[in-house]
Amino acid sequence: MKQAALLFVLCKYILRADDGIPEVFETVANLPDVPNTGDIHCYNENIGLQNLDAFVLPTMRNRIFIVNFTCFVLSLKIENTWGVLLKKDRNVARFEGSAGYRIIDEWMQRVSRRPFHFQKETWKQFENGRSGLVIAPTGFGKTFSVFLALVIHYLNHPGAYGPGLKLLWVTPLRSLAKDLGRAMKTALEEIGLDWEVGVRNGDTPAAERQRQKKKMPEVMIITPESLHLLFAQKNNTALFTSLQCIAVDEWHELLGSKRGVLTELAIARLKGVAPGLRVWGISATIGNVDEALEALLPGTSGSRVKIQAKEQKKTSILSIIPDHIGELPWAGHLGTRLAARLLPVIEKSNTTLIFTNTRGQSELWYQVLLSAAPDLAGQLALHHGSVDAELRAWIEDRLHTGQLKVVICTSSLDLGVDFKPVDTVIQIGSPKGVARFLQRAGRSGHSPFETSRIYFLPTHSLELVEAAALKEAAREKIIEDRVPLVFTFDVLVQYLVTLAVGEGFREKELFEEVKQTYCFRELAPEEWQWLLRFVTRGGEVLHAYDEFQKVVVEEGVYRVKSRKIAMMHRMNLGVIVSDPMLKVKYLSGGYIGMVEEYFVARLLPGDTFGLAGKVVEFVMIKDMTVLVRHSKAKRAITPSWMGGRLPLSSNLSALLRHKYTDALNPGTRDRELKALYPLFVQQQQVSHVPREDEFLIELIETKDGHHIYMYPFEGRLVHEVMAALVAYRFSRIQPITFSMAMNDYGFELLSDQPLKFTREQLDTVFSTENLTADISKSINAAEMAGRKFRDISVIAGLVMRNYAGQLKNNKNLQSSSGLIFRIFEQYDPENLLLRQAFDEVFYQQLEEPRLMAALQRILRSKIVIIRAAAFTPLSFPIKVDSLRQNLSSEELDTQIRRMQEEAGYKSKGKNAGNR
Amino acid sequence: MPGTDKITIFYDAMPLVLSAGRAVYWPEKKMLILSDLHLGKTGYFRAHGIPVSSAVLTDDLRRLGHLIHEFKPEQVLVAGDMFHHRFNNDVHLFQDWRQSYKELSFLLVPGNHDRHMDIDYAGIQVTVTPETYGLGEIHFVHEMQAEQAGRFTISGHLHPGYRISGKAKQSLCLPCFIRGRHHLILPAFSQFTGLYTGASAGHTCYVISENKLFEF
Repeated sequence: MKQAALLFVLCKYILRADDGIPEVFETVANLPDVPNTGDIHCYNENIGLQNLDAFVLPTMRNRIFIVNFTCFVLSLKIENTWGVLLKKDRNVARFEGSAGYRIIDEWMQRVSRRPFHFQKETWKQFENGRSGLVIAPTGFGKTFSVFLALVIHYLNHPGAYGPGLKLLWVTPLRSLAKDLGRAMKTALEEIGLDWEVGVRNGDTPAAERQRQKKKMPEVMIITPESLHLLFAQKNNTALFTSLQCIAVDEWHELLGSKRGVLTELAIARLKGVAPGLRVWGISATIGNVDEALEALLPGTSGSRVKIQAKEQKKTSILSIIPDHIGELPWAGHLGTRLAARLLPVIEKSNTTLIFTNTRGQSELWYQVLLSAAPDLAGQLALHHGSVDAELRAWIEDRLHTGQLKVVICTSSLDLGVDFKPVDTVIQIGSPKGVARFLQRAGRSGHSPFETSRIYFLPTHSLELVEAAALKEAAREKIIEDRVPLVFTFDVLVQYLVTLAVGEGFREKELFEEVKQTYCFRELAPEEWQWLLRFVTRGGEVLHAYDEFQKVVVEEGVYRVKSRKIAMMHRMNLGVIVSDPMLKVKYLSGGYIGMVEEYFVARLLPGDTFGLAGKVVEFVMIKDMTVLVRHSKAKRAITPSWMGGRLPLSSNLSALLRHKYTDALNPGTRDRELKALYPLFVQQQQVSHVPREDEFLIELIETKDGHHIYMYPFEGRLVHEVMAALVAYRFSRIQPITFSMAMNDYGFELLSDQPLKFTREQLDTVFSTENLTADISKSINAAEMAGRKFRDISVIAGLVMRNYAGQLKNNKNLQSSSGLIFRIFEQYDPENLLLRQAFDEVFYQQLEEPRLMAALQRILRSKIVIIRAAAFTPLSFPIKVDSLRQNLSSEELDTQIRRMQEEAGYKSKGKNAGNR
Repeated sequence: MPGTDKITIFYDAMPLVLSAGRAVYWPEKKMLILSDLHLGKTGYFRAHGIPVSSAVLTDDLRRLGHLIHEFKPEQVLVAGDMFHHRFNNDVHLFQDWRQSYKELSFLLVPGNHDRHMDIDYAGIQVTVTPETYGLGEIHFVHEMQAEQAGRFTISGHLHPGYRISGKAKQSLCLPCFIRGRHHLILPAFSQFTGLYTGASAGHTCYVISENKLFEF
């Protein structure tokens, strides 16, 4: 009897351990008549059933640490058989005996699959009514974890389901929807369920939308924007009443963006419409999994579950290292010098994806590879955001069928369906972040237990340190956070109008609902009232004849009455704001791709430029289309598309500093650092290689003036602000003006007069006191906020997006975000959208918290000041970066070579000035 | 008070006073000349659900009042685009404001926005001229086609702006007057207007920054 009672107690803990809450418990010690731990067995899938003594040290005998075991059983002497085990975890046994599970299990066996543990776990938790987050690497059947969970639940409880929509599948990518739908449909057919799987996004034809509205499919794959568009329809609540689950795929992708906020708002709304709704997120591994879970399911820590797959993707990272380090330039960003070394890699691979960081770089590489290996013609393709959508689809099809040998791409192929033939990935230049690098690696060898293979090709020598850092990050699983956004008022303004266009809302109920989201959980009543005034009265200033019209309140319900406003709102809904793009077309017909309007604005007829691997000559702009003709020119300017330069993530920069510590230690096992050794020796001879706990300042005098180089290794964006801040604070010590340059490793201050400073003064320069005020004084925060306001004004519906042609008849409503920003600043300074613009500058762009942490770290470091005779290997790339702005690439190449030689000859010795 | 800086330019020895208040004073005819007032633009935006404060409009009218107070003109000429679009309630605001300046005559050289508008101009004491209006040596037109020697053309329409570029990719775009040999293009009077920088090359520009005028 006693043993039976103990068994029962343990079973309770079994369940708790099962929930993924590792905790120490002392049951055995606290129970009466403690048995010997030898009587206790534990079980998990890997070890099977084992005597607990094997895992517990004698001293810990009475304190059992449960971490990873599915199940603990007390092996009873009387019925000491394995058969007892199943009986012990009655819940598991009951679930696995259920009709739904058996059907799915049989189906999986038929298609030769075995469920992974995390899938089974998801199914079970779903059956128990739980919501949660599944974290698993790509290629391991994340989709089937949540999708089949619903199917099993349905098979077990068909009576609980009404007709119509049962599962909403939110995905950030349109391109994924079709393949995902096909996979679900196939599974359903094989299982024998007569369900419809619908897709709804910007590409869905109107007739299909109408059909869906009349009869919703059982499963709908949708983007966050399209879901909000459904909310903007009359009687949309009726569409969701049978909804059982909303699944958010690629939650890590949505999380840090305003699309994530759209998703949060949609979840909060649907929870109110469909009681008992389960919310499941699916995510790749990120640094802040717990925060991701909190953002998905805020304030439900007691009942939500986190299911982390134990399966791991194997990745092999290989750097392409030249035989002699001199082959690699000290600075540069194209990397084309090592092109020949890629050919054998391509040769021995089935299909290779080559990732570059910018569209311009990909265009260039296309030309370089084609001239290095002309026989690749026809098997080599170029894929980036500006390539015509049809052509991109064509390329993707040929990737699936293995008809292409090499595809050069940008982040355009970071996400999306997997291409089975791809077995090799090449990354050109720093990927700037661990997560992005691993994501790209995962595009090769994507099926479970296959190894992903990625080659890293450095564009300049110091990037090899980054390769070493990336390897370590991959090994140690140091992956970046995706920080969820908060207080994005622009999205909320849009959402209020969306609901008002749809069924209308009541303000008190909606306030409670909105406050359930992670983004707005701390929304103050005053802010809420301001937002309501903003959409109903257009803000604070009123005059007698005001005819502001957007949302009106009738009997407590907020609605949009004007059809015109409703139509404009639907057309402008969404949070992705891109630069206006123009189509590029041959005079003789045939689209090539898209370029940004501002790039075309600088072109003169006869100018040539490269796009989608072709060299074309600009003729004219007609009807929002750029007309070009084929050009025979060998060289052409490449459009420098916006947003090309990514900043270094803080994870990667921390690792990078760490790697510099190892740089002079030739015993390291990093091939990259070994290859770089001669360069570091040179850096040490002419200056110093900073260790992790040091902060290096180099003072160099040239005919240009007095250079100060500082190396915080915090990424370009932080350096931009820090350079301005340091310059401002120096100028308070001594009147002086600087010009500035920076890269991901450090920054330069250049002045025509020497700067003298003491250690105490340096402390004030790097001080964290008055930081915000000093930043505001040193940079033009208003101008930066104005730029941020561009997106905000479009999302909040203040500036109409100019769809080619569609708004032509509405010229009278044309304005610019800059104009509205100015008007707000002058006449409505308390505007929350204005405040948001400044917040975005300080927290997202300037990353003030990161800057603060960096300054604190610098203050703690040992500051090493070196007077160098010429540019050093570290300072050189920064110098080159500052030149790049004014020179064509050819001139730049020549100049770099000359400077590199000069630096090599001149710098014999150094004046160390350690203080 | 903002907008007090002045520069006098001459056409055939005839003086014209450019004011940083975005208007020109013609002493000979005691005439204040401005363009692109776009009255009703804020109202039009607000009626379409875009919350642009109407204070912009009242502020524009207040600035106009200051200029009238400063130059004491007998007539005000608007070189087109006085109203932004159709009749809306902002016209009432103008009407109220007009009450304080009953003595003043108002001339409107109609522009693209002013055509086909059902505004009772007589009711608000505004005289509409032909699309090209000559007075003494000066021709007024909303949108200038080509410069003609022998007469001086004053026009609006373009909302001219001048871009001043500084270091570190910083740049500033400000409204300006554009002076050609035989013409002058006025800045848009209303604050709620964009700027067009494509017309300033090759001409003298008088750039307005707050209450100062700078020649470029």
